[in-house]
Amino acid sequence: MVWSRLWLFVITVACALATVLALLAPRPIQRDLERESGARLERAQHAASLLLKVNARKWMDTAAQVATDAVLVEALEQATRGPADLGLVHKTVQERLRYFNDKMKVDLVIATDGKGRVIARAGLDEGVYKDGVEGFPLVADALRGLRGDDTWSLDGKLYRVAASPVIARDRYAGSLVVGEAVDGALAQSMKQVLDVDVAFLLRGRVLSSSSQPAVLSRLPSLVEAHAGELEQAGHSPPLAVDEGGQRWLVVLAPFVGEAAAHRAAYVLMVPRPPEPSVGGLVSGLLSSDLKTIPWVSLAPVGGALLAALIIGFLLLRVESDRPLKRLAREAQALARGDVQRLDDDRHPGKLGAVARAVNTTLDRIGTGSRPPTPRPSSPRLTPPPRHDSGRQDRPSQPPSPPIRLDSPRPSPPPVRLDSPRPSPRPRLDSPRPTPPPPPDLLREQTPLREEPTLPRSEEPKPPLPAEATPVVDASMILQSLGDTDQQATDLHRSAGPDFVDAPQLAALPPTTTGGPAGVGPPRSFDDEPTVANPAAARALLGIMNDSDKLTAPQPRLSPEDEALEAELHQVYQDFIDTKQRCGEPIEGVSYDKFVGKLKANRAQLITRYSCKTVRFQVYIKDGKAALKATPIT
Amino acid sequence: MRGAALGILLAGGVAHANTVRGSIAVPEASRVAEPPSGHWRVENGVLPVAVRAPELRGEIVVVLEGGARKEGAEPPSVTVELRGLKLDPRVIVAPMGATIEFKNQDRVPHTLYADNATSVMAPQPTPAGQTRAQKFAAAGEYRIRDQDYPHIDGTVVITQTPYAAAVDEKGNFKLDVPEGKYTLRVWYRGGWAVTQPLEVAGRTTEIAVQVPPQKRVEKARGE
Repeated sequence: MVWSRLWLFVITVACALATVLALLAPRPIQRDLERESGARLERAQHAASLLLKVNARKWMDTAAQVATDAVLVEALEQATRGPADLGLVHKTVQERLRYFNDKMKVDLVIATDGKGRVIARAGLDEGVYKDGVEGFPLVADALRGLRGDDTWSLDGKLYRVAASPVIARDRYAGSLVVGEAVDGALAQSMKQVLDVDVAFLLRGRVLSSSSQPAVLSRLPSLVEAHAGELEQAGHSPPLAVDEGGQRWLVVLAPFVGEAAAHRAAYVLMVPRPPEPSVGGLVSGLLSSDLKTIPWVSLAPVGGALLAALIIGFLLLRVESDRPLKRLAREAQALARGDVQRLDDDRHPGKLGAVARAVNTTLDRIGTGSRPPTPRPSSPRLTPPPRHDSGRQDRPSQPPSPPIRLDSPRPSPPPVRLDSPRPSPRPRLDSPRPTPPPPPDLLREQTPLREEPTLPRSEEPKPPLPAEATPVVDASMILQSLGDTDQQATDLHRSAGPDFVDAPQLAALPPTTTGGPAGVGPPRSFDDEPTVANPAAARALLGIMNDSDKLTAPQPRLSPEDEALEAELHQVYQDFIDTKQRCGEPIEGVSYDKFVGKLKANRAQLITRYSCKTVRFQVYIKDGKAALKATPIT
Repeated sequence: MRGAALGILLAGGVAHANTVRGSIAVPEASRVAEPPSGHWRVENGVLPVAVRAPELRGEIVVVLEGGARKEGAEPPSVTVELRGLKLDPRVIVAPMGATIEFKNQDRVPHTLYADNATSVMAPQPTPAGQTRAQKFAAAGEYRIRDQDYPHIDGTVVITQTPYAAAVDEKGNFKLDVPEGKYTLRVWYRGGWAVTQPLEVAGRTTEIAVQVPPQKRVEKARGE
């Protein structure tokens, strides 16, 4: 039991540790995944800044290419030199701008003269011209001969613009600005390159995005909160944002250019790895990793677990199951009467304690009012040898001497007492059967032998033969009477299955049938009766007939008779209780008939074995109540 | 307009007026243009980039602090134009109580405000062709910005003394002041770049001020 408990404890601790590890193991993985997602976002932001810079250069080159258009150059030179028909120049320039606008798919084209005055527009406010835009640093630089790019916030929209000077021979004749709107198309193109979601913000609102997650509503406040960081570092660290049940990781970065003052920013977003959970882990394994699990590498782990289970089962079987079964078998043998005590030395640990407790109970009940006899050094009384197996539980102990009725002093054979014939109706003056006691109490009250208190080796020999066992089965007495009277036969038959031969009878040594005082071999009473003493059977039947006279006045009893009556009454109650416990009917068992039979049997046995008295014990045989008589010297 | 800008000679009608003539020179390093606001700024590769002198006019103002105060002079009114999406001039100097008129000559509205003193000058749209008059009662430097066009950036310098003037394209200025001891201060590129004593004794006082190249300018209030 100790090892099985220790093994169970070890297994439990191992399982608990494994569970804790299974719950905690995803956390470092989760951190690594989030760290990796953050690094991925930072790389994406770096790539995005490069992408925007390269894209700005492309637009700058486009502006420079358009600025070389001869028509534009000529028209802007005229406008710069003035006086000229500015309306005509405007139309000319605007036609060219529309042409390029359609050709290059730009969203904004502006042409200015050398003073920064707008000559024509395309894509935005096409009807407006003659206004000055030289205040834009980008235009001012272009008028000086520099190419550059910028971001403008115009009419609530964000444009990425590039400008180039318009050169007319040896002088600067104006500037040309092209622009691209920052919208969903740009977000989608950036997403294709960066493999992350992209959103654009301007003045605290989301302009456009590559997708529409719920986290978009949180982005303006994030940009406001990290404005200083964006200005200083050029981007924010990866930020975890949970919104609408969605978990995202975002990186904020401002647009380079004038619109940065309007909080123009782009946001790169990736979904955060899901929260670690056992369910998620299992579902993930089942959905994607089941086919790729390295079963070969896991085989040692599975084998170790299987070995642990087998060891645990073996330990349980060795330390728990087998002793329990052994104790159960011995308890059944005790119930059958095959043994008189439990062999507590054979049972380890607490089972031995249980066996000792049972033996102590047997001692206490078996001694009656007498104090328990101290146990001798070898207190066990081994069960009688069995005919069927011939095997003894403890070969070292000498077997009980066989009871031989043909010996000079016949030993008392086991006596079976037939259960009374069921009466049509119970007698009114008979004691009412008491309800069965609880199982524990029943166990303590079960069949009782006197022998444990009478070790043969130490106690003085009674007048009985030295080798005779004092245990006598009442049924054997009935058989030994040798009565072939039909009444006796009926009596045996009336007992029905209650009197089927018990293994105890089979264990008894064979006796000579029909001898002077012999007892027939153990047999069932259903067999043809071979009663050895018909006179005793007749006497018993005569008592039974007398006991039917219930209305006859009873003489006053002596104290000894009262004690006998009380004892027989107790035996009757035990018999009734046992029958009820076994589920047998008790309607036909009348007290007077039962006690009458017991008295007759008692008288027979006292006469036969010269004993002082006879103790009747109720026990269960094959699931039914049976009775056993023991001569007490 | 240019005459108006140069004529910001706030002192006038002073008995025994003395004239202070001076010139402000800025270092070559300060002529370097501002960094590009975008990713790129490259030359065109065909013609050399036009080298323009730094914008001294409208960028530098000179103030003489100390001396006798003028009594009974009405606070003047100074006009600033919004044209070509920029302020002209970018730096305005006026005595306390002066009214600055911002005249929107652009085709788009402008929403000007004092970036460092929104309680004094809150954002307020000025439609195209309209003028916004703003009175500054307290001395100080007010940075004027436009909510719609971040590149529009100007400064209104309100002084306690009436002796202040803006320089012309060459950095020259002229002030008529009473005799006395003054402290000459030069506002350049968002801060007081020069502070030095000046004694006006003769009829005409000539002075040449060199803005030190490494001089760390004193930031305006609230910046």
